[in-house]
Order: sequence, then C-alpha cells, then structure tokens
Amino acid sequence: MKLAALCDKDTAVGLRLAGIQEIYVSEGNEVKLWNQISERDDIGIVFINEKIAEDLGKYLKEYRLRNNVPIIIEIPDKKGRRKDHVDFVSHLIKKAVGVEINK
Amino acid sequence: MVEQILDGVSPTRMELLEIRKKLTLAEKGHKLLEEKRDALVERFFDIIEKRNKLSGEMDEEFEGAFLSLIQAQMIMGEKKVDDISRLTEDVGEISFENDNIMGVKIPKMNADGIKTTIKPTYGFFETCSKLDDAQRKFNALVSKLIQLADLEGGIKSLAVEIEKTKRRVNVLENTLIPKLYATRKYIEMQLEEREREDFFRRKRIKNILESKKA
Repeated sequence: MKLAALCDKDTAVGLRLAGIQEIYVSEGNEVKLWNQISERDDIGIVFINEKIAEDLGKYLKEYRLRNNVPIIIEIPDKKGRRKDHVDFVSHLIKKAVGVEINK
Repeated sequence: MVEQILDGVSPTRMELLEIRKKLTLAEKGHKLLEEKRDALVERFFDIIEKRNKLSGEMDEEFEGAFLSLIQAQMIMGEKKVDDISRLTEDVGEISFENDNIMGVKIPKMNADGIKTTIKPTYGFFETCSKLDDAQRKFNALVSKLIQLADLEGGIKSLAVEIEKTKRRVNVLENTLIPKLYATRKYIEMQLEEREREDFFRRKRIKNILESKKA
C-alpha cells in the first residue's frame, strides 16, 4: 500500500524530497481532496497537516473511528506544532483511560 | 434509589432457579471482563509511552528538517527546490498484516518495502548542501513516521476495544447485577409470603374444623 499526504505547499516539497509520490496539496479545497483520498483503496498511511486536520474536523474523526486503514497521522507544518490543538490520538487516550497522559 | 427488578418475571420457584443461574453467570462474566479491561489498559500504557516518546522525537526532527528545507529554498529559490523534489524516486510501499492482542485485531505494518535511504537524483552542480540535508532529514523522518503510524493504529484499535469493554463492565456492575439481586430478593420474598399465607390458612381451617367437631 502506498503512502500519501494531504498537506500545504511547503510540507509537500519536503515529503516529495523524501520520496512520497502521492501528494495532495491543499489550497483551501481540502474537503474535496480528502474525498478523493478516502475513495482510493490503495493508500495505507495518510499524513495530514495539523491545520488541515483541524479544518476537516468532525469529518475526519468519524472516518478514523470507522476505518482501520488508512492510518492517519497528523504532522506539524513548518511553523511547528500548534499549541492549542489536541490531536486525535491523545483525545482517544483520554476518552479510553479517563486521564490525560503527559508526554 | 428504588431497586429495579427485571421486567416480566413471575415469582415462581422455576424463575428463581433461573435467576440464580443468571446471577452466577453475570458475576463470572463481570470478573472476566474486568480482567480483560485491566490487561488491555496495561498494554495500552506501554504503547502510549512508546508513541509519546517517538512523537516527541519526531517534532524535533521535523523542526530541523523544515529549517534545512527553508534554507535550501532561500539559497536556490522555491521554484527550483520544488522542481527537484519531483525528481526523487518512490519510497516504496508498505503492507499490512493482522496482529492480535487479547482478541483485538490490530493492523500491523510491514515496512520492508520502504527504502531507508534514497539516493539523490539531482545534479550536484546547481544544488546546495542544504538540499542534501533536507532530503536526508525528511527521509529519516518517513521511516519514523511509519513506525508512529504503526503505533497509532494499535492505539486506536485498543482504545476502541477498551471503551467497549469498559461499557460492558459498567453495565454489568451497575445495572444488570443489581437488577438480578433485586429480582432474586423479590421472588424470595414473594415465595415466603405465599408460604406464610398458606400456613396461616391451614391453621385457620384446622381451627374451624376443630370448633365444628366440638
């Protein structure tokens, strides 16, 4: 299965350098791109910029709960991690265990 | 709180036997599920620890990689870097296998098909060393990202399963078992009451018969 990414322009350049070919660059049309990605069944991992993941919001969350594959990983963009953003996995952990686990 | 009893039970001896059987079964199930939950949580913590460590490392590496990339873009121009980035060869593909942790199916990744090092496919003549750095760093990141994806996939499946188990344990503990106890008590009391009534009736009849005789 292939690796894919849904990210902004700069992250795209970096990931392309690393050899990832299936890259969808978002220019405000992330929902459309996301639909394209979720329709394909040859993708194993999707890297998504935190900002885009936030914009997709609930849409993405439901998909993740329903499907095991592709695995979705949130990656920081060139400005680094967003401070107020709670990523999906931490949220899941909190829900399952009841307490937050510090890094 | 008013003790609730199960719907549709009639206070008979048969029903009492049935309820007793159900109660032992529910308690056994509760114990088992509790053990399963604890085991899963223990396993869960292991994976979380690994994942947090990895994602912390990754954040730092991302920062470094982006720094190199931005520097390369500054020196060579964004357009050029973009062009070169399209030349790189494909990193390869992964495959999935199923792993099993205590009955929970977890997607396990097989990253053998991923190349860990990519040879630069651009000419050295027009490019700068920062680009090499950026490529090397991003490439190292990809294999880490795949590891992270593996862990996060596991975390997700485990979390869903833990929640399910937790819900089951809670339903048994807080609803079903108290209800069964209440129902058992209700039936026992009804039966005793009936027995007392019977006993009294018999005594009464005996008295009446004796007074008639006399």
